[in-house]
Amino acid sequence: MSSDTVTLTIDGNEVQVPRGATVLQACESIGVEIPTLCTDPRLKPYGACRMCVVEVQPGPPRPTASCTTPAGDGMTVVTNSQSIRDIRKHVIELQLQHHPLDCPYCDQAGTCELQDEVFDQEIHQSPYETVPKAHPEEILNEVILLNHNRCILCGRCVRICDEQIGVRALDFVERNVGTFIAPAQHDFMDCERCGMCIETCPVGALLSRPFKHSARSWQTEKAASTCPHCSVGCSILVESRHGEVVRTRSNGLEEPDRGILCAKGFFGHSFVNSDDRITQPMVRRGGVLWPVSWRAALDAITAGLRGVLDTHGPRAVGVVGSPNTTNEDNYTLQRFARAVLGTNNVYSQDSGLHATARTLRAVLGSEVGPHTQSELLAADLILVVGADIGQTHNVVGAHIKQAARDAGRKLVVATRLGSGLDDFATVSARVRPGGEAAFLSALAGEADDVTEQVTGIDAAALDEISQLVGAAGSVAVVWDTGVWTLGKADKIAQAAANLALARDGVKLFPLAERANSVGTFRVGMAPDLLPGARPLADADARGEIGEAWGVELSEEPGLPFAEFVEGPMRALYVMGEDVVGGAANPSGVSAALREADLVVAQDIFMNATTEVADVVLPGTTFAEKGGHYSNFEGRLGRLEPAIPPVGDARPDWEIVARIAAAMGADFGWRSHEPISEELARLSVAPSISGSGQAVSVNGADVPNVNGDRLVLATEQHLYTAGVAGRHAPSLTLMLPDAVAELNPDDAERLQIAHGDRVHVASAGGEVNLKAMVARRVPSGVVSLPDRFLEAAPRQLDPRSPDGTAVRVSKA
Amino acid sequence: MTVGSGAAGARVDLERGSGDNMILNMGPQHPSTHGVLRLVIELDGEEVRRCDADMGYLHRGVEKLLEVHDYRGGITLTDRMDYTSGPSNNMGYLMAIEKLMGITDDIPLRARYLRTAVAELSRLAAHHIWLGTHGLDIGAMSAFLWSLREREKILYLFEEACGARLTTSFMRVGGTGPHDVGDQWLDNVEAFLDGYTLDEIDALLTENEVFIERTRDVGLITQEQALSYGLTGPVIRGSGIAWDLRKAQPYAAYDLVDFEVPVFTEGDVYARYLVRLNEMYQSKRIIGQCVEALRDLPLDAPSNVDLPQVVPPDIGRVPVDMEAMINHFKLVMHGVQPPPGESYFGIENPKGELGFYFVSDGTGMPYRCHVRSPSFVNLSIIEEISVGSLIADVVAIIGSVDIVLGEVDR
Repeated sequence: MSSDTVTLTIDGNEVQVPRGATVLQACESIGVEIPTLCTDPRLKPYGACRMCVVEVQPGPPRPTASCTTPAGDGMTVVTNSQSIRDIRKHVIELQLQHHPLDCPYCDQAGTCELQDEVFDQEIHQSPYETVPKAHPEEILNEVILLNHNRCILCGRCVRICDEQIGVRALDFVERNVGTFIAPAQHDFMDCERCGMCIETCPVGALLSRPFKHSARSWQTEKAASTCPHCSVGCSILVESRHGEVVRTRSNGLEEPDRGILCAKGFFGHSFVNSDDRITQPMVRRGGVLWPVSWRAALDAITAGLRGVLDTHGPRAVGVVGSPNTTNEDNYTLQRFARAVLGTNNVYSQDSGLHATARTLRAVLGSEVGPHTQSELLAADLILVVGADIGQTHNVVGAHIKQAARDAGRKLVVATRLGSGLDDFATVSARVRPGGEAAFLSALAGEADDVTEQVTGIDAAALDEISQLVGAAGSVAVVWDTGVWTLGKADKIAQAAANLALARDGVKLFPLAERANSVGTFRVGMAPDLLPGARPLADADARGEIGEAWGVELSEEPGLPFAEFVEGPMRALYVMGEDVVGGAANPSGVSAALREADLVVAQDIFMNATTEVADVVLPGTTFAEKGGHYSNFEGRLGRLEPAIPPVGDARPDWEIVARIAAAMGADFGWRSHEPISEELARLSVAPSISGSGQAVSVNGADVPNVNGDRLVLATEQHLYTAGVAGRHAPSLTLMLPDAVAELNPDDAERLQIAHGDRVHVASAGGEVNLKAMVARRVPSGVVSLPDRFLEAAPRQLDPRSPDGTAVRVSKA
Repeated sequence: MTVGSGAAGARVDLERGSGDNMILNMGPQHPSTHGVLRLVIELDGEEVRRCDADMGYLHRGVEKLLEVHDYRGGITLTDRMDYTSGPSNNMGYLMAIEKLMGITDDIPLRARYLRTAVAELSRLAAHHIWLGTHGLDIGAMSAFLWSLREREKILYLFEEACGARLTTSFMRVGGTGPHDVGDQWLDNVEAFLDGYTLDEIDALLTENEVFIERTRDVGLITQEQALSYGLTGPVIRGSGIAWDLRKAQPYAAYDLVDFEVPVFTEGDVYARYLVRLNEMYQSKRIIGQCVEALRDLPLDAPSNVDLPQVVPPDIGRVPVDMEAMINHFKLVMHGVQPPPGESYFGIENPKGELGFYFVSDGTGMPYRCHVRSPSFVNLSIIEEISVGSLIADVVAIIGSVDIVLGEVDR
């Protein structure tokens, strides 16, 4: 018998378990069922409910909670004696004494663990007089309700918020029989609205307000799918009823989410059944979009495309894919463009991830990754740079917190705003917007005289961080490549690459902004890439893929998007993207599209592009189609259709494939599976050796900040999730309007109060929005959320808004 | 063209009907086919050369429906199979579930006696339909009227016990459910038995020369045929085989009551008539004993098993008692949940062996359900024994096999 296992006897059966396992785990390993109420596989053992009691010998002559007792060598465990059964029964009977008679209208009824235990333990008569509690239901915030009467004080909500999310919004209040669950800060609840307390609650005490009374748990149809809101790609269970998604929940304990979700994953699904969805094809006639049949829409598109191809040739045609749609959708679109239209004008709008991936590949070669989250969390030191990962990629942020606290990882936080990660950090510093690349360069040993000014981090702190990084065996550099990196993503990537070149053991983790950003790169949604992100210039790749498609692929790369739009564009096919709203110069792109012969916009909501489109087609959301997203690790997250497409909408790949068929090239696909297979077959990873050259990125301008001028930080907020998020009522409740966040000192100096309307103006433009005074914003910085079109940071500086100096004044 | 736009498609070819033979469609709307049975018959003069039973006109997918209803919800489907004896079907279904759950031996005596009594009442009710229509088919009008008069009295008894006459959904898993009966009902049953007699009908038919002429030596089934076709019920007992599940594998309270199994050896229509007629006298005996036994049981004798996971709590406690609320909720929403496994249970229904086969995956709905219905199996012999008989005899044969299409098709 090796020393890392122990042998014990459970109900007469000998069992071997790893040392450190609990008696409960030992029982479960041989299929002995022990009833529990306060156990959750995500949480540490707690021993609150006493349902799992067993008799353990040797030991004190009393029942022992099996969940908190480590299995020991030679233990004898009895799990099912009469006295044990009586105790369990008694525990339940005492709980029921105060439990309200709410089952008929309680949301949890049917999946309630208390109900299950009553039923399983065959309890049908209470020996006690019942005294139900009668506290009113407490509204904790926009999305969470707390019903004290149903609470059994198992503490799972308190623990999951602390152990898994690292927020500690809830706690036990008062003592003894008067104990109840309440916000830990009493009058204020510091909550990230992840809904995990609702998810773990064994009874109906914590409830989702959006879901309340909308369906019973056994009535819903369940589909295992992937969250569409960011590149973590958490697996979710989509529950629907009558063709409507009613809730999403965490699904399983596997990577990448490990059983937790954030506000977007738990509450952000309601855009699927929004009334604003585009539900039928429309064609513009006389300046107005008219609903038409699919046949009429497809005829208009094929006629338009043929016309442009005949008169202007394939160079005048382009397609735009989307990081909001699946790999299959994007693959179909680029195959349509390359094989049917004969053009390499294939685009995707996620410039941050594409620029980062290209830079890293050019410098470090194709071996650069992406790496997995497990590797990230296994690094000795985790360095978070730039945007707050806790806001942009909340679930990864939560895992980093856990790694820092429980696994002894060093955590260095160099974000622009204060972050929930700060509490768990070994060192945290505020980097000035625009100074992120300089900060990474400094760590790579390229500090210069202006480093301190550019990064906003003083020499002492920088030195401390340098020493920590230098001392760590392995370093994970984590940064978000979202909208804030606009215009400087390549610089930050180069700086990170410099750090990786400067020393061993550095792994880079650029976190893409949207669910399938990585997918668009890998599928080859770029003028010079092919599926598998193989370079178009690679003749072998061209030959191989051309052969598979039965065409000769053009070796002429497409033009960059801006040049294409301003230059030869006569027809543009846009799938799931707002090329106008997301453009550096929206009015220019809009004008060019108006001039074009044919603009097709295939989307789920109307946007600035559909306003100028000649044909608008109803696409589908994640909940209505099958396919895959590639998350930041490159891991494929599977989508499973949960509901039929709303209205006349069709899966995006199918629409494109139908157009291709109408133009004489039937790909023969009737479901997404053959597309997945073809993509996998053609995605041969290219072997590219990097330059290995560190390129200095220093030389940034020191922002001129004085008086009423502040540095602009464009930050993605936890509760924003692109255009879709603005159509999800539960998310808009959490963050109704765009707000400019200011440090209290700056606010006082500028005489701006919380809630005032303010002008934020730069040399390039001006936006008008509400001010919010927040401590997380460092002095000298004003933070604007991206993804609010009415107050887009781009209006202040189209090329690279982040880090510019802006003037803030009361409106 | 081939005849067979019907559900199953008949095999007799209309155009190639051999020589001068005539093809006759009997049913699916023929008064003597007892429902929507269609017989495609090739006739040489009046003599039947070939006979094809085409069915499926009443197929409702009951077996599949049972797989998407919880066990309690399935009860209502069972009395729509052999609708001449609803309560008996209910009981076969419930007992199969009880066997699946391993609680057969826990069913209280009161429920066992009541089930036996009701099963025999429904046997009488079913046989009265058979007797009436069988007689009517071959010209005995009075027998029909008198027979259905008696059946009507039984339906009143069902109505009194559970509220419904035909589709009774009588009793629940674990006992009588909410359908326990009071002394008044027992009085009424006794009054019914006191006035019950078959002597009039017996006198009308048994010695009736015309009736005998039409039935004796018609539709002969040999012992070998009966066994090889897997026939059960009065049909096999009319061919000299004493096979009755009530004796062979006693269930409910059949091991506690005295009765005999009438057997006749001739194997013709007349023998089957005699079997059923004698069976009805035996049923009367059994019911009498059950009523007596029910009266002798103490007043507070339980009528349901004492298992909260099977029997819902008293409805009066539900709105005031948390334990009752939860148990009620779980049983109503998810139903009883037999452990994973499979079981087959057959009872002696009026028409023969009615068997339910369940596979449970541990959830509240059967993973697979199959019904062995006696009418379906017994019907198969008609194709063989009709050949060589006269077309008029086919009517007598159908009546003597006693099928119900609701059960044939399910």
